[in-house]
Amino acid sequence: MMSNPYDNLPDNAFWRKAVAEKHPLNIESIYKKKFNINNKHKIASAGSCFAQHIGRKLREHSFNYMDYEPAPKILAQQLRAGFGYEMYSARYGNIYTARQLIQLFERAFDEFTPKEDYWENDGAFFDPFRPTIEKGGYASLDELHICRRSHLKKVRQLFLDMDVFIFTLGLTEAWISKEDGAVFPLCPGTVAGSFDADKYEFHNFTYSEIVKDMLKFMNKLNQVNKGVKLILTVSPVPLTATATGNHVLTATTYSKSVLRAVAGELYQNHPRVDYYPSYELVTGAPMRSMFFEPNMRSVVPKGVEHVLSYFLQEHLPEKQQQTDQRDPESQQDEDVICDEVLLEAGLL
Amino acid sequence: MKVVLIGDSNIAAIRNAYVESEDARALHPDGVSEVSFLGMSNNSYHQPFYSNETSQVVVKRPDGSIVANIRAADDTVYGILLGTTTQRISNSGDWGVYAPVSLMNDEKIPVSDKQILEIIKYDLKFKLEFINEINSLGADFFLISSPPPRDSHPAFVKNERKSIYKYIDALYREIFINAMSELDLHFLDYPANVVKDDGFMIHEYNPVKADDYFHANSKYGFLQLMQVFRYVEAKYCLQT
Repeated sequence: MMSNPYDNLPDNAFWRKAVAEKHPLNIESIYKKKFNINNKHKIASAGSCFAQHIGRKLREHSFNYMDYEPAPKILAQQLRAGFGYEMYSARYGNIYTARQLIQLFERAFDEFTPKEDYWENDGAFFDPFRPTIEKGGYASLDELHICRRSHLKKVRQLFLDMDVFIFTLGLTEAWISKEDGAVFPLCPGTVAGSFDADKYEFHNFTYSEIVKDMLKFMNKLNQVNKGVKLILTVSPVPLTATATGNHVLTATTYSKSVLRAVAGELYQNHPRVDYYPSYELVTGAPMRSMFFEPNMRSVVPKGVEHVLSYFLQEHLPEKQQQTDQRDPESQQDEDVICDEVLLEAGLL
Repeated sequence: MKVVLIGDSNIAAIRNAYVESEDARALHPDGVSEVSFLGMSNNSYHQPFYSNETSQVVVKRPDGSIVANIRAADDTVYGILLGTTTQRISNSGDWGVYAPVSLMNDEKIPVSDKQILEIIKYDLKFKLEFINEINSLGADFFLISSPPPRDSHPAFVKNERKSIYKYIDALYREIFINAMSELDLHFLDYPANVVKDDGFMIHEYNPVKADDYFHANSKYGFLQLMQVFRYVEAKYCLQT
């Protein structure tokens, strides 16, 4: 009998055995870590709003999760997210695009200072590059500058100290300053500022642009912190709105497909880049959209739990190896701050 | 008329003055038949410490035991000492690391005024709700200030901590006093002559216990009690 390359492949290589005949909550071997993370590794995270769940889970499980801008203890727990605390490893807010990530790095290392310094609305001052970090804006421009300086200093140290960086790719669409190419997390004029078509332009990043941006970021990071490892994920959360002129569903498919392909490319070609399949674990056909809220966009706590359980199976430090006993329903109040949702709610 | 003074641990200085000093007891305004003191110690005030029951607000300790039943009664006026005990916020260890933006130096992490405002509002939430409840009840009451900030805490060897303490204390008091003003409630501040030029309490009003950095002694309590008596006399006794 003739043999072929598929003969000796494991079960997880075959759809029938790995997916069709499996309970969707028990899909085995979907993630095999490329490198070890132990509880000594300093882990940082950033990305689109789904990434907040990852950081939260790592904290809960006693990983050495970095928080370089922790909240003052006297700021009540329920107020912290409103000021961008405990969302990520520093108070940069959601970083939706690869270009935004490079920009953060360059700002932290004084390589780039965007011309757009602030947005002002009704006497309050907003940081265009993290406009939702201070509810209602800063009281003065001085306050904004002082807080920004302190923030970027902490971000710089974060990049220097991290051993593992988990980055969730979220969007391909962004609004950019025509003047200097600075990219904004939110369209000017939504949460703050005012929209001016002469100053800002829409851009939908392509696969090659994002790969280039990510390689540029990895190169820059490696120059200041040799050996840092990267875990990429793709947010399973669909777009709230698209400015492409296309239907939001096709725009979402474009965006997620491109981001998934970028992550795949980097994973295949770089030994220090791992890919964690959050996207597949929520949006994959076997999940039958069961992890989405009725709006078919927000991910329910059980979905988050499901996604992160595979990560923990592979990476949970030995001493902490135990299942998370918390009832996912009890996590309902752990609101994830997705700025762009404000668009839909008409709150911007 | 009965005067019931109720409040957090700072009520002790006033109570001690009353208990220890015959002079204090002798200075009862005419028409005051009884002065009593109730402390609601061990409350964090970050959760309801009272319940609104039929025609009364019941003040409780964290263990559920009852401190007081506040009712609208013709013969009782309450003095509430509660809303200006700022130390949980103004003297938090956080200020060793953080600083309000206006008092920043390079070693500190800035905290915006809006965050500070939220922190204070959170600390005051149930205190203000409690005051609203007894106000809605129609009970006769006024507010009494906690002692002024003290500079004897070991953490205050650094001047920056003193500045932060004063800044937060002043902001906290301002928010509380404004809230009382909006409700048209009377607020009895601390006696003017108990503070030094720098705004901190004169050391002779420190408690005997050396490691008590937050309260005042009965000498201070006496001065505050006299203010209470003067207010009660002017408001209730001279009119009758």
